[in-house]
Amino acid sequence: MKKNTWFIVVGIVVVLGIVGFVFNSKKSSGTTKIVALYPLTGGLASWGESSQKSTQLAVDEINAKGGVNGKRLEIVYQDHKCDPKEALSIYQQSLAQSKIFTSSSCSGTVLAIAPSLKNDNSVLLATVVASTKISSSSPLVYRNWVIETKQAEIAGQEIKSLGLKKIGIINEETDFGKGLATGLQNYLKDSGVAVVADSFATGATDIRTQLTKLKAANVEALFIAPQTEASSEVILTQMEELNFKPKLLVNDIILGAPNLIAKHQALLEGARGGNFVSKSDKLQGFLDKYKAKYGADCAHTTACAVAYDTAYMIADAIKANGDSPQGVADYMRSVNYQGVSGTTTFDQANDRSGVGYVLSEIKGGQVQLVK
Amino acid sequence: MDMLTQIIFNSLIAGAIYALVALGFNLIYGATKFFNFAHGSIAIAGGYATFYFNKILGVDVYLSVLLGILCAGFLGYISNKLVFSPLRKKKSSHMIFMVASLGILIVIQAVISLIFTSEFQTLSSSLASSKKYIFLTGIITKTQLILFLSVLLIMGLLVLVLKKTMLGKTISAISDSEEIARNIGINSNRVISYVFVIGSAIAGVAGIFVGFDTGISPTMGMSLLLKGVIASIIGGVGNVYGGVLAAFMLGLIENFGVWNFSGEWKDAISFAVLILFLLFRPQGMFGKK
Repeated sequence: MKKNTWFIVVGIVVVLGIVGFVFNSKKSSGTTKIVALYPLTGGLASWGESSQKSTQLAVDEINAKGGVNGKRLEIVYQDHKCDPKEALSIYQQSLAQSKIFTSSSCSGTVLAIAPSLKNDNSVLLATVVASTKISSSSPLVYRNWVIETKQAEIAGQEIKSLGLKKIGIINEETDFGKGLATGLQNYLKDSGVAVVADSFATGATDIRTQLTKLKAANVEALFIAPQTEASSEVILTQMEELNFKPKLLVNDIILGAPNLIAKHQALLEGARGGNFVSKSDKLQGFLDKYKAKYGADCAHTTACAVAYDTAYMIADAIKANGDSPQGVADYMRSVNYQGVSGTTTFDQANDRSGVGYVLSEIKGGQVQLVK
Repeated sequence: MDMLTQIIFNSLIAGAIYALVALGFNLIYGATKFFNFAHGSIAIAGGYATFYFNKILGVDVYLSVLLGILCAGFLGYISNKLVFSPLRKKKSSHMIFMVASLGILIVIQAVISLIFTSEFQTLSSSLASSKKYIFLTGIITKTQLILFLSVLLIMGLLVLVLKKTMLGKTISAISDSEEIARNIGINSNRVISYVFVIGSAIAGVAGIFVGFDTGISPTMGMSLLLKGVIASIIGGVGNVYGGVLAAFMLGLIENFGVWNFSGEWKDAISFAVLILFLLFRPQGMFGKK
């Protein structure tokens, strides 16, 4: 009897699950779904949240104008937590809902998904990812962001212009962090600048000895390449603890973290780095709409602008070629979109072309462009 | 050479955290003889409980620490009462205990993530404002100094309890043989409950210090536990002094390894040391107590 009761309970749960699935499928027959893989929790949650709000703003506008080809556009938001394993898992689970994906942040998540896209006949429009490995990782990945080598070059140019002879690098062991460190080392090769480099694993909370080593090496400047705001916090806190205050060169994770800058203002004052800045007359109008809808400024202006443009580009692609992944990919190949983040076109490697980083500096707790 | 003192300080700070985890783990393992994965997440839960009381409810920091320790001890008690005690009654194998403890680890992690999100949280408002002391050429913060002294204090108290009190003697008896202990009239279930409370409370202290020193996230319990377990195995499982000494030794090996090689080798160095011990001295440096 007890066994039968268990069978009945399990049976009811299964039947309810099937009914729910069928009900939801019917309900969504008038919609076109797109899956958005964003870091909604974890060290880059604020970037994910900015992307999510911007995407939703675009989608609400599109739906208010009648949707796409008579159907409402619906975004299914999933949290990849900046974890490649998690990203691949939720990508696979989401294939039943849509084969058109967009994502934000963490190069490793895109690199985890890219090899599966062809077999699954799906397409991914990735934003806020900078690893060079993403270029040509799959003909079905389009990267709406700038490649990290350009960010490393900005740091390298700054080091050369300041006439520094010995610099340090501390990077997180992720595709993005390693890529930045390697990019800078390659840029400085044969330049006469001595480089002392060290790294730390993702999730490490004790990097004092790496920092002690860099301090002992008497580096004139330190290039910091973390993957998340959480690891940035660890580095900056332990630098303060060790009284290690060299000239700082930082990446766009730190430049895009106002809370972090406020907390470590003294240490970060004068820190410079490459920042991807949107250049468009339409940008301010978008930022005003964002503030009006959410009651606060977008925390990561360029990430917001790019996510907003990407949603519109996907809608345009579906309008033109239907909601097939291949149709979206074909559309992106020749797209020339004038959006709030500027003009978007993709090069042969499916990377956004014609954009770069600009040198920025933290002054008085604010990030300013260096003229 | 200038940095030698700093590297030693860095090693002592890391070792102190490992020692706290090893102390609680050793105590519970000694009495129950199973690998308690839940220990890592209970440590982190202690840190989050303190975070909740201090940062969210605004309770005084010292009272919050005390409440955090109590919460960790209570979680240890509950995990024993609801899961391990029934399994003991069923005479389940050590494998079942281990899998159950892994389940508890995952549940606690998930609950912490649901309540606090998986954001990285720090307990101090700014470690930079924490007072610093300079000895020779090394810098150590007030938090780290308290951490180091706490390990010595907790170890001393634990040894005192184990050697000088009736509870300690019954714990030792159960660690030697639960069956014989029961036969001579010791209420082993009650004593094991105390062991879980004390061991988990010590783990909670570790989690709280991690929160003050570097910061905590819901999923860091496993890595914290593994370092404590390596220390425990190197020192000799069940050996209180051995675990603490091995924890500091592990901190020194790791940090001098990072100094000589690179940060990416840190975990590899720890596990290489563990493998060497398992191969050539599985009873640990000091063997059982």
